[in-house]
Amino acid sequence: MESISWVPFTIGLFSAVHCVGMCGGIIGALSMSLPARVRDSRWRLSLYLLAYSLGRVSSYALAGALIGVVGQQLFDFISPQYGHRIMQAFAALLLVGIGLYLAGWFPRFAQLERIGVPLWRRLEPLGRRLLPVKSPFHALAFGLVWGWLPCGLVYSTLLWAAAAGTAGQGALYMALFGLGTLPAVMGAGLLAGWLTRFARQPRVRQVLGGLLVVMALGTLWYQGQVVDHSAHGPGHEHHQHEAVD
Amino acid sequence: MSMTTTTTRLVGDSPALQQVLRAAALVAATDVPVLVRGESGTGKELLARSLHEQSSRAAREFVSVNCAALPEALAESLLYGHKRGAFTGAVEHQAGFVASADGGTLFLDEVGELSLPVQAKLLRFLESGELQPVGHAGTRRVDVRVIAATNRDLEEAVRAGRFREDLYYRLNVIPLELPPLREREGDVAQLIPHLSAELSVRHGLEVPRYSSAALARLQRYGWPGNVRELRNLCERMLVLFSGRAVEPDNLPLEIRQEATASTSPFRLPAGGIHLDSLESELIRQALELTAGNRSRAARLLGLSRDTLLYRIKKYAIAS
Repeated sequence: MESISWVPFTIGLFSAVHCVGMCGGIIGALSMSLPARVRDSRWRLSLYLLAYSLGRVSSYALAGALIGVVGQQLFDFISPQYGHRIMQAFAALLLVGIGLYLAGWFPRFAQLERIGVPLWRRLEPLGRRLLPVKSPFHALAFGLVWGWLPCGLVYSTLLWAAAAGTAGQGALYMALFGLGTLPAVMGAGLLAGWLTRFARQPRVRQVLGGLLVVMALGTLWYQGQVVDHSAHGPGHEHHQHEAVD
Repeated sequence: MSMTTTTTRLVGDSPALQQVLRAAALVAATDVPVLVRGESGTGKELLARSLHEQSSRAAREFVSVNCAALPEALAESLLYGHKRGAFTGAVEHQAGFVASADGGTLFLDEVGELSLPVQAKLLRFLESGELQPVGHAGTRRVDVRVIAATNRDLEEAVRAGRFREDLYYRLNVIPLELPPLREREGDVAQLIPHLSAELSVRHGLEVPRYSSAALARLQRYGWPGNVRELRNLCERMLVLFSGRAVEPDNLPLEIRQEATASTSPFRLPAGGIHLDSLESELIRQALELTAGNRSRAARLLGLSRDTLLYRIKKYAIAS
């Protein structure tokens, strides 16, 4: 599925309109509570911001690896022959849901984040104990906790990544999603005002959400093409896996 | 704010609210200024109190100041205190709101309503951490965490010159935005029993029973006044239908009428309106707002310039 690796990155990038509310506040608190000597030095501040992000993206990747394994088991359970294809169709539908959610047309999608609430109840006190952050290692540790913060967008991307079918691919997809979120989360402190205004515009959200829906339909079409191709080719179940994977 | 005198926490499991509360729990562990945004009645003061109670300053004072209610002439002495005899009427020494919050949290509600001279003094205090009571020669250092709140578009106020840009950046370190009740899916159903139970204790009355049809109607309503409006409704229903069932017909007219769950600020009065009069009035207002500039007025009304000119002529509006 290398050909659709840009999907999780794009979801992360578009999440700018979604992250401002929760993660914008958190990154603001994290950076402004740093000692003045850190805040006054651009490279030191960048080091801390990178450490937060590295921690967060690492948690996403770990979650992606776990969901990749679950996805693999699911393929075999559903159907060893068609499980992969069914999961990919499910992933495309999920991507439609993500797009509609980002656009503001499907707010109920956010209920997905309830899945992570019990885990977060255990992790949150740990995160609070790490504040205020005193060293880059603290920042990394906080980022690792932050990565598990319940978020409808992260969880839906995680479910999407289940279609990856392997731990490595799942981790890669979620890491790419995390990288996509970096401009929004790292820029939140500097561009808070602009980003908030940008994210508040319903049309912006609708355009970005609509693009994700188009992407979802595009991946469905692409998969259909690959299936057609393999159906007309000689003995191409193996070939098909290569093409889709 | 009546809501804050009894309700002690923000109630609701909706993702929109929970996201803010999760961010707030982490933000509380730091000691930096916070700007709480949200429509009127969303519970900004409750969020500020929650930040204070989860912070290391919880054992100290939480001082809430409604900036909209500060008379400009007295704002300085009310905020920073005054010495006895500093001005006519200063019969005794007054510490002021800021000094009262020393070691704790100062909550500045409706901060966008502060006048420009008071904004300048607030900025000075935020930058130096020092205040000078009226009539006092020296300054005093005060350690407070400032949480400000507004339902205004502060960026717009900055552009219009009504709010100081430097103060805006000083306050907007951590923005937290409370969602309006209409975006908090499922919270109305959770808030009604919570608010009713709380109010029943206060009034010594039995909680009314809302029928499922009434609850469905209430969940469809847009709640322009947010939780404050819902609380007022619960109080009204408690007094009128204590211990009895509340049916859709018992709900106020505006809720019964809003079958479409419209969030439009325009409401058709029960007695109806004269559409032409409304249209000509809106055109007059647009022309007034734009000082007679017809192109800008047309943009405000979402019309082309030609259409506006036609309507100005039609209604014989002098511009």
